[in-house]
Amino acid sequence: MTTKALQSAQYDVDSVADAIEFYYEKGWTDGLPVVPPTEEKVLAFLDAAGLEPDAVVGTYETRKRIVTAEKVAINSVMAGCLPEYFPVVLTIMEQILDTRFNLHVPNSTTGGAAIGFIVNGPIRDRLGMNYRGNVLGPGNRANSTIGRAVRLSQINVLGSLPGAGTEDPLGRPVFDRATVGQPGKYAGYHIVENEDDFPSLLPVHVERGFSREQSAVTVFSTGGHVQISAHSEDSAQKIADTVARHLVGSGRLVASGGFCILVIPPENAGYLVKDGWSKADFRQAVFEGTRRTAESLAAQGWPLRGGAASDQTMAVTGSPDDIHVVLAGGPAGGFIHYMLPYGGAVLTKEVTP
Amino acid sequence: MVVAERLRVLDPTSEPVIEAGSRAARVDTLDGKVLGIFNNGKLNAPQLLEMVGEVLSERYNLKGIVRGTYSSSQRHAWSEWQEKGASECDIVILTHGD
Repeated sequence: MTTKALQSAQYDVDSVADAIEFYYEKGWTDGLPVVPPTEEKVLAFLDAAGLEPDAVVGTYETRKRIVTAEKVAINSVMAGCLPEYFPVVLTIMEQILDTRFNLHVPNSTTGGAAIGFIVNGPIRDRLGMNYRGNVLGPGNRANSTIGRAVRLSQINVLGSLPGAGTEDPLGRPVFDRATVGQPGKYAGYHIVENEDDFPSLLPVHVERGFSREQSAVTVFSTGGHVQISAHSEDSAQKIADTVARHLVGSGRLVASGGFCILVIPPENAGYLVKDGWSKADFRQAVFEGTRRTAESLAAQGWPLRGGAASDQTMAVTGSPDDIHVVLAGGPAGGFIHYMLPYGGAVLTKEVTP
Repeated sequence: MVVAERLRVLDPTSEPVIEAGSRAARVDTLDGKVLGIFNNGKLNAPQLLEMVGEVLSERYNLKGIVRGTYSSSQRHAWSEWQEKGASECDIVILTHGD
């Protein structure tokens, strides 16, 4: 039970409807209405995580911000979260504030990067999260509001006020000057893995050192995604070949580093199992399928960045291990989704409590 | 008739925590000094810096110019700047952003 008082300024409003308008006037929303954060609601969130209001979630050196549990809780209430979602929000926030994540890139880039996260383990079902049809889309409260809580925290706590072309009407500094932005900046790329239907394919968090009984969240920064149609491919190798062709076509091959997130729906995952492939086999095949020399890419008209030598071998990532394969989606449709990397490291952390 | 319920709501924002800091020591002249020009790889950045270098070379008797590149999307440790030759410089001008 929280013992300390909340420190945030408080405002009296006449009704919930007035409160919603008040947050618009203050410039504290993402453009959508928010749930008014009352003291009672915020304390319930802190209690759910067993944290005092002044507990430090992390720091953001570039903007000189100290992120407290109280502020993240307020933004989580506003996003429409339930208290039991709060540990997941906190786990994401802790990781994006890890210097290895390089938060300043998605927080400020003209490229319009979004935060992506993969939820694994028992907490998926405890929170009633969706890992089947429309997993990346609307319809599930936890899927939709956890990422929104992170975005609202980016805007309100981390100073990533969106805008470009026009200045903030309230005169605040506009630090998120994305050229176009992207819809993933509303609720994040919320991926929840289907760990049940294909037990031979290890969940992401298990591949990254956790047990199936642990709940964990993996975070990444992404510039958006590409939908890959793989309906007629009737083997794991054919699917890998199709994916590789699309990845090469994305023009983002690298000599080292980088990462790649692939969301594989059941229709395609079934062929991996049928052919006896592991996720590691699949990522190796995809990796090999994307390997090209810089010279061959240049011959196809791709501008080479960083002065790569003509015989330099490039691929979608520097290593197959940096291709992360996630199983999710509805039963019908061979639609694989590729999340484009946007700087920083892919990090995984256990969700507690 | 429904009576609206008044409620008390909370400020979701936080402000920067500014610690006391100090500016780097200023040089009194560029005469005899080594100038570093580091571009972040963005369009026209190297050309702009070269022009700046030319202007300063005309105005001052520079000891030399060190040229380098860096990624403004990454935080760099001082050791990385040293590898790029920054420690040889008395003053560095760089491009940042897009």
